[in-house]
Amino acid sequence: MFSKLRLGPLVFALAALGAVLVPFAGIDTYGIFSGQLNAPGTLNVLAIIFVFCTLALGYDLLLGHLGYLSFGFALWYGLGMYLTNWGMAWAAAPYFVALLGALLVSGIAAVIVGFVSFKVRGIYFSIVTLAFAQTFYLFVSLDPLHISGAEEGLPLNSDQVPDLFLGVINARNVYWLAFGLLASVALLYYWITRSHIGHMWRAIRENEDRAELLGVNTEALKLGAFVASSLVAVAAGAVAILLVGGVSPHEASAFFSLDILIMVILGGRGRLPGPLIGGAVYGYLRLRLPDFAGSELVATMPGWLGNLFAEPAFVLGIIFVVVVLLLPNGIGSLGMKSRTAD
Amino acid sequence: MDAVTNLSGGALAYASILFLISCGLTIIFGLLDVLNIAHALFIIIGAYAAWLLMESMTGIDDLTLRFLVSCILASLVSCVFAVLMERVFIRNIYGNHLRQILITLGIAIAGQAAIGVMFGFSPKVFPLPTTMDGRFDLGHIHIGKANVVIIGTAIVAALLLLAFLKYTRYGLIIRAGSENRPMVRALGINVDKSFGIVFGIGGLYAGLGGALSSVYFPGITPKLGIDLLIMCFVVIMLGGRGNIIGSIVSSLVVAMLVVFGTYSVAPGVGEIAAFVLLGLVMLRPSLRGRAG
Repeated sequence: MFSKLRLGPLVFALAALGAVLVPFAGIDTYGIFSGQLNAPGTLNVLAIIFVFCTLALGYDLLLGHLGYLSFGFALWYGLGMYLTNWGMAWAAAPYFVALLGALLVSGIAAVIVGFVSFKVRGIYFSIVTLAFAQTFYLFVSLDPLHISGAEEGLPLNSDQVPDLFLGVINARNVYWLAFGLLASVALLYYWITRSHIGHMWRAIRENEDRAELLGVNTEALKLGAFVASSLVAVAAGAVAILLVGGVSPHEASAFFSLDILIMVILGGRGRLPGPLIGGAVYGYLRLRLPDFAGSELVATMPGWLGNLFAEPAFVLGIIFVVVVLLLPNGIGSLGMKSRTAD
Repeated sequence: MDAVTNLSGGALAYASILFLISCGLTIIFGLLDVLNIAHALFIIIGAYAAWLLMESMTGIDDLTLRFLVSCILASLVSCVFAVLMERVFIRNIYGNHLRQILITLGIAIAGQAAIGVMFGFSPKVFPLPTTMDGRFDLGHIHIGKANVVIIGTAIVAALLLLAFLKYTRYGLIIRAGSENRPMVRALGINVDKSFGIVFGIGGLYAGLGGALSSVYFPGITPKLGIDLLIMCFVVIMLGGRGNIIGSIVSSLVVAMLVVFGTYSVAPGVGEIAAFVLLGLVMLRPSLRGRAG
């Protein structure tokens, strides 16, 4: 156990160093990615995977540590995307200023949404968060004020984005930005879950009434976890618009909220490696599986079966059911000493 | 005034569909504490099975009869699926609500994707029998014939379900189990046996709701399941867990809000009003009943 604790930070540091150096590595990926490891397309896929990992880390503060199951987490990711883009379009604010504005507005929104949602516990909390997220989703997808581009979404407002982050040539800069965000959020996650606050979050997860009775300020701690996790998602959304070149309502939908839940459960909740593994597995399957539809392996299968296995949602759903049944602590628990399933 | 009465027909039909889906959902929630996300899959299994049967059973010339047979068979398909799902997956992880919810989520996602791959993601239009086309005119009031069929089916289904819960032994166990499961267990009654029945009812009714929603909506897509399910979550939260009468009332309230909000303001306003109502009910503990 002690050797694992010592090894952990070393492994993470080496992985981080490797990730930073990827844009310099012109290595063939043998079909794992569509091109060389440092090709702009590959860097884009990797950066989106980093965004998913960031999102999963944020969600895990709420699910893994506080023990609250949200069905509406995509709201914050969507807010990060739309608010940043609106800030750049309407206030003509430079990208990073728009990002700060989005964080500020979403922070206030998170306090209000959290306050209402924490009036109830358990599955009722899940439904109330879903209702909030669905309200925003309907607002942007039906677009009554003609500001969000309805189902089509909006293209990235590139006038306000620094040139450094635009175009195929600068794919590596956006990659580093996404990695920088992931690394900072991972460090924050590591620090806060080991701090006093993290311990009290888990006390609430284990038994909220007992924690409250022992004098823990559960209201403030819960709201703190909610706001922190929301802001992580807002930042992830703001970076994502640079990677996907725009915003679309799907990223704020209930489907995406459930996808974030899937990421965390796949990897395993409550420990740093879990959301990272889950985000990576999810992101890789979602982004790469459709490309395998034309591959030789798929061609040997009957048509419908091949189509089925090239559909990311199907494969993810099956993997998810298998993981929940056989690995209750997620894929991340494979290498660890077995802990009892909760 | 005419607009209001004419819209009421649509609102009642929408309420009927919401009720057919929510009643199983709320019984499962009441008895097992599991929010069955796979209900979204039951809905689209019913809808697509009905569509497929309607297209393929060319042996039955009478379209009205073919519609009837399609709806019944589609509900049964969904029912069988629900019972199998409970047997294979839910039953293996007793007592762990989060894992049960997650399993139903995974099944819903994989199933929806599979249906999307098999039938395509574009809307499928249901061939409506001519006998159900058009509308009844009662003076100033017009109501679509299809809507009358949907409403009538839901009323019959609701009465059957209430009778089942009130007069049968299993109904009694289900009602008692929703109230206090440990107590029923302590009295030596195996509540777990009724779980399969509860899922069967859920699948049957949600499949019927799905089959009928393919008549109510202009076309069916794999997304329909989750979209309807989200409104049904609101219905069962407002109606109270395990409460059938409650979900009848809240189906009506939610459907009125959605249909009239869409008509008088803009699409989406009605849904948002229903969410606001849910938020208000959750904020007022006195209105919340046993919500936790």
